Amino acid sequence: MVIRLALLVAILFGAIAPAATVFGDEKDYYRLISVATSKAPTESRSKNWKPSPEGLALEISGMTFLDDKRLAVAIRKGEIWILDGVYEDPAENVTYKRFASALHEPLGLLQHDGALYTAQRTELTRIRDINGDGVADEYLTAAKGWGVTGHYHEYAYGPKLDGDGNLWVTLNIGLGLKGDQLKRVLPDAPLGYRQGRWRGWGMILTPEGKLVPMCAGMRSPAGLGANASGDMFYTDQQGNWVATNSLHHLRSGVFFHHAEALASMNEPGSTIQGVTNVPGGVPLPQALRDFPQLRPPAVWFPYKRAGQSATDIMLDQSDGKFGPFSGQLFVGEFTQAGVNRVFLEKVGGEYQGACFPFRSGFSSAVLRLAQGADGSMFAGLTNRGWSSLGNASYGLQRLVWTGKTPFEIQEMRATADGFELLFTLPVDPQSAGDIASYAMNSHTYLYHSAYGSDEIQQQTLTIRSATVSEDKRRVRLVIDGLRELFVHTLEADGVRSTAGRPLLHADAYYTLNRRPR
Amino acid sequence: MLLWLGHASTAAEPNHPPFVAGFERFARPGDLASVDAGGLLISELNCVACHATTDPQLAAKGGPSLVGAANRLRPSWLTEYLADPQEKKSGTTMPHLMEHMGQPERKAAIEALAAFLGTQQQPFETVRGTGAVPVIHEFWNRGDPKQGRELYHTVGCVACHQPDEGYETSETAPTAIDQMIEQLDAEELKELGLARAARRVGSVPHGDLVGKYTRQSLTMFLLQPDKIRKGSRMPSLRLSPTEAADITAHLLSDQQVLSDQQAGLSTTNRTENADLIAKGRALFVEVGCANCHQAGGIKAVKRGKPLVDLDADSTESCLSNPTADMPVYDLDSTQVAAIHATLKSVRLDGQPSASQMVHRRMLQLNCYACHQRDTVLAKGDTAETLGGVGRYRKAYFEMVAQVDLGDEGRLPPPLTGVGQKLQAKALKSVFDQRTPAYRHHMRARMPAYHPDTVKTLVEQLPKADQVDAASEKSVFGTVHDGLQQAGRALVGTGCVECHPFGGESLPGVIGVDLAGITSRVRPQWFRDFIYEPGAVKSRTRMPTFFLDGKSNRPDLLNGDVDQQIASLWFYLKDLANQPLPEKIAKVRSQNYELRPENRPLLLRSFMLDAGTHAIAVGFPEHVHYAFDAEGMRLATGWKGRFLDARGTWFERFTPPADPLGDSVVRFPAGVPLAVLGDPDAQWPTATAENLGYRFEGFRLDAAGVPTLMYRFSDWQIEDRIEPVGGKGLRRQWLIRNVGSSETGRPDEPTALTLRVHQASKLTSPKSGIVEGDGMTVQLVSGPGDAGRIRSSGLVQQWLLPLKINGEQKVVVEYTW
Repeated sequence: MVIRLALLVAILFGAIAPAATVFGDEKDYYRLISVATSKAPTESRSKNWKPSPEGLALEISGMTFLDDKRLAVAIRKGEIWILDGVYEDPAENVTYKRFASALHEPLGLLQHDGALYTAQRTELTRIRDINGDGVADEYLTAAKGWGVTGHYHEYAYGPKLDGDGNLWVTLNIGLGLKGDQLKRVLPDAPLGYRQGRWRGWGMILTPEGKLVPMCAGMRSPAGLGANASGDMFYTDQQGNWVATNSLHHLRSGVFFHHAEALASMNEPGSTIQGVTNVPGGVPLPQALRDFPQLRPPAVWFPYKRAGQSATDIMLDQSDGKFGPFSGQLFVGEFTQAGVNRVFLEKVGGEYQGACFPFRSGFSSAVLRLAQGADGSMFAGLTNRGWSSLGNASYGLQRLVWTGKTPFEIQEMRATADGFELLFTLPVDPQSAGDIASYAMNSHTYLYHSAYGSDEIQQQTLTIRSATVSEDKRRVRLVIDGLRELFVHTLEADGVRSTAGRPLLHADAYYTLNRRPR
Repeated sequence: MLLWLGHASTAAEPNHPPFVAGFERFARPGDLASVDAGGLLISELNCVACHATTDPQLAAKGGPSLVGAANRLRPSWLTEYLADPQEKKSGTTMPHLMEHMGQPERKAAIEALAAFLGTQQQPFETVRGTGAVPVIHEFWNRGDPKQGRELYHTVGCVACHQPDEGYETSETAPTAIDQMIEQLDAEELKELGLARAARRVGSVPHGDLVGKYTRQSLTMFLLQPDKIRKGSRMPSLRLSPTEAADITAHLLSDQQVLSDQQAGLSTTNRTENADLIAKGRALFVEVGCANCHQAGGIKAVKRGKPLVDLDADSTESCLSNPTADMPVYDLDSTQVAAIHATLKSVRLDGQPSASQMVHRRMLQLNCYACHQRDTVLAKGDTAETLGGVGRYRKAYFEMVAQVDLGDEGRLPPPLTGVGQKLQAKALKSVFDQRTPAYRHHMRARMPAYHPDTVKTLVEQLPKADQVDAASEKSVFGTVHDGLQQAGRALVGTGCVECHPFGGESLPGVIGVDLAGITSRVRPQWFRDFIYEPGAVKSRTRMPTFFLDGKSNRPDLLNGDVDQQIASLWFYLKDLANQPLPEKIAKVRSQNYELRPENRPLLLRSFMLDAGTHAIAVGFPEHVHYAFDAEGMRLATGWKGRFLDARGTWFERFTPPADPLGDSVVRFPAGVPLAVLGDPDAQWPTATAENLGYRFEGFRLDAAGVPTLMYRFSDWQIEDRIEPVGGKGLRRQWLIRNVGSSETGRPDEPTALTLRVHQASKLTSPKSGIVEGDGMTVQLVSGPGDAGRIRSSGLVQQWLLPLKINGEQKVVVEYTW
């Protein structure tokens, strides 16, 4: 009877609850604190963009903690600043000290080996203060050698450190080069592509100081980050050749999306060889058959539903200080000014997994993420050049776990015949055991040179059964019609916690490259 | 010949007469000519949807398309609305089409119509998200009612619709006229000709939005109103998806977020009853719905008598005593009288003038809700000012930030003479969705319209305003030496205080940017406006610079007023290639110019001569250089001002940084050091990288002077460049033989050659000094030997051989 009543309450609650997920509740679990945000007097895409006349143009493009208190940030105009007081709430006494200047659009920052490392447009630079006056006086070139034609889109990102001590740098592809830019492309590049050297590649600087090209096919790899095992990942952004935003495991010899990166295929050190034909206009599963070096992303982020422009990757290493998602990856979102969450597992030796909406409502585009000593997430914001939600143009915000556990799908694992869900809180067995509480469909994408791809070959799948574990934390779904290399969208609108709450985010997107056997 | 309609008889007035904004505001108090007043009702009430006419001015505005009605309109609302449109939405222009039916019959008819409309499925368009357009999944459910409330009250909705009583506008002082109006009684207002300005302007009713729409359907409607309401009486306010969702959240704040199912909407037919659907479809034509609404691809319509054949005095008509098959409009006597008057003159009314056509279209589209325009209301009369933001609505028209530009800065501009002002292309583009706002200081937006909707305005406004299409040449002559320079000087006294120039402005200035103005306004208008602004636009804040026809800058162009105005025109026309106005340039320089004062300043950027790996170093001595860290060469030197960093710091498209100063010298192409082997061998031209160079960065000394470091084969080089007085640059190479890392230091050091200089022709007035290509190069210290000058191909080279065991210092000075 009690259960019946609970169910009745749940049903009633369900009937009046919003049809879509209520994102407004996110703040009950993760609270945003503005450390410093500013609004520029001009539109984000204005040719004559100007920063706010007040304060520092804090367009954060790199972040690294110097110690438990001080945060060093790179800003897009080419400086490094050291901020203190960023943990205060409200952050009213933040101090700013300029450490370095005259950098060419640095898009990363890492304290490593007694120095600050940043990728400028033309090189990876190691910056130190030798004379101890608190201002950098040594800017050593740690690595260079990639092509820079002068096209604006040729951003260089990084570095981030992997488990083997390598510093990773990712290089944007150029777009429609012309004029003098064409004088700086690789001569006689394979397949007729016109790009500077290593454009669209990921490279490492080894501990021995050698710059090594590793993998290729990147379009706009704005985010880098290692997982708990020290494996390095990058995010790419929807555009030509890139169907939607994606997360990839970086390793030697693999190819991701953008065919023009093959311009460097015959350069000494290239890890990609022998591509004579790039498939185009075919569904991804077929493209993967026709193009053996091409590897699917570990996670696709369906466009609009899981962001429009993926950026930085942050590993939650807080051991619970940031909530129930320890060991998972968080991915910044530029256009929608938010953060998405990623769960990864290895199936058949390769990473794959699911993404989930996590937190929206930042004040501007989220370009950089870093975890503070207290577990909180720092988000570096800047929307110049593109566009984003939010009322600010740039700045720094901090996301703090309130201590309340949100009811979320914590993990989504593939099984041989479906998926197993782990929830952050015990589920109500009635609703969670009801197949009507779930819906699933799947789709893939076209691999083509056009900008983005529709979700193609969509299919609705049948949920056969939903079995709740004894501890009520897990649900095992048996599903008909799973397809490898397809994105599987789960909507678990009907599931309730034992307290009768719906999921904070009821949707999840699993990239099922392989089914476990 | 004005028709005073206000005093018509009031025997048994209906409860819900149709609300037509222009009629309520102007015709009811008697402002309009009878033919215009009645004509406005005829178009807005869709009379000619049944009563055909050839007069395009009377064309029916049409009703909303009902394609997709099943996905958009809540069935509960639809049923109530059909049962009695005027009761459900007071002021609706939709007539009651089933009043003549008895209750059971009407109920059955509504059920059938609802069944038919339930088949009108059309999925919502997908809103494309891009890097420029954030579109969150199901954005229509994510609106922020607080933002929406603010948008509703600021972007222009409340020009026509009712503001919330509790909404607080930012404090704006009432205009002088409004203050006066407050003090006067009706008689005095009339005497002073202020009666019209003193009127309260009624609001276009919303009806029951909460009952009618879902969040999705209202959001999608607000995004593109003319997809559904092709008559565009509700225009697009250029909302982003987020903004449309916000306004929806505000308007539907009393509504629970409903799923389609909860709202009674479905993507499959609501009933399987084919007979009922067929009956509804037949009724849709029979009762006359199809005359105004699109649905089901139905083309058939019910026809009444042609408009010219209607007998205005008939005892049975839509206007009074409608018979069973006539629509019932709930017209009041004033409205009936107006239509009567127009029907009687339909046959007499000849070809309307351009002014009339503009006036009628402005009434239909309710342009007058925002804009004033002087209009001749009846032949022979003088023009009277109609329209503009109504009383008690002005407070909602705000300026961005807290700038104060008076009413001119916050209210939409008057349209008197606009045909004279705007070039044809510019006039057309005003209505285009893609045209950006020019009045950045205003929060209200100019709505966007489909070109067909505003064709009459675009075509007739220039004629109505008797445009003076004089060419640029006939107004201003041709550009000649010094004219644009004078224009630049002139804009510095008066223009820059209020106008930005190509996005650059003095601090705090928000106004109409003058970039592109010469492709928007006509030359003659520009001339007249600059010459005497008040004569073109009354009460404008634009000051005159030619008091009594005399220039306040007699020093420029001999004080010739025509030449001075021409100089402004030609300067602005070429603004993209002209230097910024001096005061603005100064501000820009304060913000973005790198001005080394105590220490050197650096900028890494793209530069034309120094390439994509450029490192520019500026010195307080006003001598600067740029080093190419890819080609490993000193690329350029210059004197005077250093660099403007704005492009490097803040421009997405990364323009190259150009030296601001003068006396720019270019240093020879190619690497500084080479192993020639054969002394007659050519200086190598391969890239520095291929020759074995590697850039290694730089260190700054205590004074902030960088020492550039690079490696060439076995040599480690430190290259320090700094000014020598104001004359030029002094450069010191410190070259160390560090040996190859593989083989260790060789016993006998390899012969290395430093190229001190290269030019098309070198002359040497004395040993250790060489001149060529505009500079003098002096070897200050080195290995002792002064080296040799040789000819190589088309150039001459000064080469200094070096044999370095440990390290060698070489110092040269470049002066120019």
